[in-house]
Amino acid sequence: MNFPWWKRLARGARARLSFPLLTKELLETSAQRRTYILRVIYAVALYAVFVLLLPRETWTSVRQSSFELLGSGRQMFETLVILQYFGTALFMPALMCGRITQEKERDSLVLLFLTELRPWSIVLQKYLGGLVLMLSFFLLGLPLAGVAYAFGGLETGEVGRDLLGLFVTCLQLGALSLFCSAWCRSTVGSFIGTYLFGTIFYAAPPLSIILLSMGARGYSRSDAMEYCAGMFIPPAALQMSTIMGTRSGGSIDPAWPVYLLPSIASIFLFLVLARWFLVRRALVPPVNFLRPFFERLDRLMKRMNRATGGIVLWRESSNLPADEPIFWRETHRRVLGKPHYLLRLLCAVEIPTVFACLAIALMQSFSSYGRDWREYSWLLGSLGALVALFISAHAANTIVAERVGQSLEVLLTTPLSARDIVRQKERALRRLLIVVAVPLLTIVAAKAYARFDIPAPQSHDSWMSYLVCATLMICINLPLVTWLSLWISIRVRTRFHAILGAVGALALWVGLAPLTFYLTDHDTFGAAPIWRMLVLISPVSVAYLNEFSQLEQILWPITNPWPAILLNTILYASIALLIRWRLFADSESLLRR
Amino acid sequence: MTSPASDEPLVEVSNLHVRYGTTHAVRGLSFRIERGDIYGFIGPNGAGKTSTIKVLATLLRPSFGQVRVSGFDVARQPAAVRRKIGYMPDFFGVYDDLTAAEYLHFFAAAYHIPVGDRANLVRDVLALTDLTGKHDAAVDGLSRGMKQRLGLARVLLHDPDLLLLDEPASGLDPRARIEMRELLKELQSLGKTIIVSSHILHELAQFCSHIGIIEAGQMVANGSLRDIYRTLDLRRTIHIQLANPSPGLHAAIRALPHVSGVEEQPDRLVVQIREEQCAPEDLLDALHALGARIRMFQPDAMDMETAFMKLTEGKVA
Repeated sequence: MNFPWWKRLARGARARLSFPLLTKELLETSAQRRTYILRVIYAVALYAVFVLLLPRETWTSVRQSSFELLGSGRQMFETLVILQYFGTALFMPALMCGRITQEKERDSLVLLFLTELRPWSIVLQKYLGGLVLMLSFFLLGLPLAGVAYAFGGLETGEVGRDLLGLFVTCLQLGALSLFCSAWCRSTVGSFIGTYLFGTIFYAAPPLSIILLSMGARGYSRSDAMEYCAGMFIPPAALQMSTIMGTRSGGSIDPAWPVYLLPSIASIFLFLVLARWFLVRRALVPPVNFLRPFFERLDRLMKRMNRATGGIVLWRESSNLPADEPIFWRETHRRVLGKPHYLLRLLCAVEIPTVFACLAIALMQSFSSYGRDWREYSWLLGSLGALVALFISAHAANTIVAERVGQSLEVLLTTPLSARDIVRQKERALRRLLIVVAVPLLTIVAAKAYARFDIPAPQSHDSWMSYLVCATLMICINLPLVTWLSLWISIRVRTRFHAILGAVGALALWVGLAPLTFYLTDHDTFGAAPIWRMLVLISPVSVAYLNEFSQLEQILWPITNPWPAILLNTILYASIALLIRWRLFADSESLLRR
Repeated sequence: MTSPASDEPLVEVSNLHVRYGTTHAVRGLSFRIERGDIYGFIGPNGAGKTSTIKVLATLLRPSFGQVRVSGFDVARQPAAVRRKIGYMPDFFGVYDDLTAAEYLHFFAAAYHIPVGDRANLVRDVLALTDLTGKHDAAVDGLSRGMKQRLGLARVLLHDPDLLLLDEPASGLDPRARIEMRELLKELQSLGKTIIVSSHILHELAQFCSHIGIIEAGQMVANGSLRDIYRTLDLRRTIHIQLANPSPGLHAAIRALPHVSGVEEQPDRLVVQIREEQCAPEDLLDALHALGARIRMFQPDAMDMETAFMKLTEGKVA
């Protein structure tokens, strides 16, 4: 049939603007129960935290009347925006990282390539599908913004600026996650990759600036360097525009949108990369990175061992399973269970840790500023966070891998009980826990030794209380993370849900720490001792306070740290054992679903 | 715990119901399987076959009804039932990081077989499943058919009374399917009781002693093949090629008692008989008596596909 040109143009335009993939994404999202569960979790967390923080803004002893609260809407709005930033960082990668990998896992990406959809169209429609969901989360904050607005003190320009910053962050994290989704083969890989790459992307500029400034002129940094440190982080860039505006006599630099340009450029860059890898990595086979990594490490260490004449401390046995087949497989055939691989892993982590501790000790000796051992704490915190994430993801995967590999049903028809299966899996993880605990304990020992050398000024705790508290925390928290992750993993069916659930639960629990510190600050509820004990609801609070010699804050006015250490130890040992008990008690009913 | 008498049926399912939330997958299923039987479980997708097999394998608790294996109740005595059964799912369920022998040793340990007996046992089951040459081969490198045979070797390790095979030929190429069928026949000769679900109907007809046809969670036919054909009034088709064809001879064949139809094709006659009234060998004798010189006499296998289509309507639970 021969249509006039304008009709053909209109039909073509209508076909191009129909966005079938976006429609499918939105329909799929709206049909999934987890969309609504996530939305409820987001809303509950946002409103609960806002309500908890509200007294801090309104309840202060210095205010004589409630009229003095007028104008405090600005602080409330800022609090709301900060919470939404946290929400974006937590939720956006999880919402976006599976957009392309799920198509790869279902083998449907190649089918999309066979349609009229062009790669750019696929990327943009997938991107919009994830953004719509996140933006719907932002809308949940509107009533709270209304409350803040009612208190007054908010200027339209400031609101627009903050919202733009939030929107750019959302676009940037979404684009970064989509790029990882286009690169990776599996959703789990994409999820972990997003956080790893995101950490490097956001942390590399500030770390480089810190290193440069340390090397060049002590700790002083120019404004340009300060800006460069946070140029890819929209809230930091906007903060810089305020600082520059204040210095020039105003409140905000009038050219503040320019400060967001690097972040906006990064969005385009990530989208271009997503488009580039969408086609090039559409058919990559699944790769297990760990096994080749360890095999390479093995070869390297064997080559290095020639220098010692080929000494062999541990020869791998070719034994077959005796009584505990699952434990045998986990410790003899899995990469992270084999003793000699674990030894390699220990060396790979422990040697740099020892060098880092020595470097800090040397830096401290030559430093003209007082010794505060802060570097040990940052090292311990960073390594501890990595270890917790690694253990959590690994433990969550260990049982769900049997489900995904379709071997769980077969195992459950043998005389082994579900409890036996979980018990053997859990026992096999203990070796790995010991391996990852060693570097952490090394840092703790190095710091305790440094503190033994020179006691902390104006502090009530000693090197001994520090050593005992930190060691107990490591010994309790590592099994706690393992048991919690195992318990979550027996409840779910996919690897992605297991890892997301375990890491998410851990992140939320740890995330309570800054909130409780904020709430238990002197200004909030005065010095009420009962409120101070709120800090104990996060497993890392005591570890943090211990690192910075502030344990006395927990049971103030009792300044002796030992009661707080004892209380925290009893509390978390009990929680850990309770989770372990539930893990074994629930295994029979949950694994046999 | 006492073992029940051996004259009891090995499997006894009475009024079994299985529900998943609002879905009623199995609705009042009842059947019995005697020792040494090969029971073919047939039904369209979503009929409730796998749910029933999972109940027998103790992987699923019955919502209602009683299921006994070797006299043990699957809901109350699952541990005792597990020692009596060998379950092979419709997927492989193998560990890719082990060799074939390690895989079998792994499950020998899971079945608490004494360490001293394992090596010989593993060798024997590998020989039985024709995998002796793959003793040290990585499971990851085995073909689909070999993996399925390895799965069968696994279920034989603890010498179970009952084998539960869910779609054992699913996804296999023709050669692997034939090998699997031969293996099942061999197991039958060893006296094993087997429940096998499959979609490949004519293959089931070749070695199953009993058939259960299930649709929408309900049993629509149950019994020996002959019983089912009799119930459905199905006819046996026989292809005959005559060396001396003539219109008179054709008319005489048509007039034979129990012959329900004769179709003349260019090179043969296609004759249909009621098998319960006339066996194929009786028809052959009758043809000789009519003076027919037979060049080809070929009875078709029993037509399971017709039976299946006649009994089912394509409903799902």
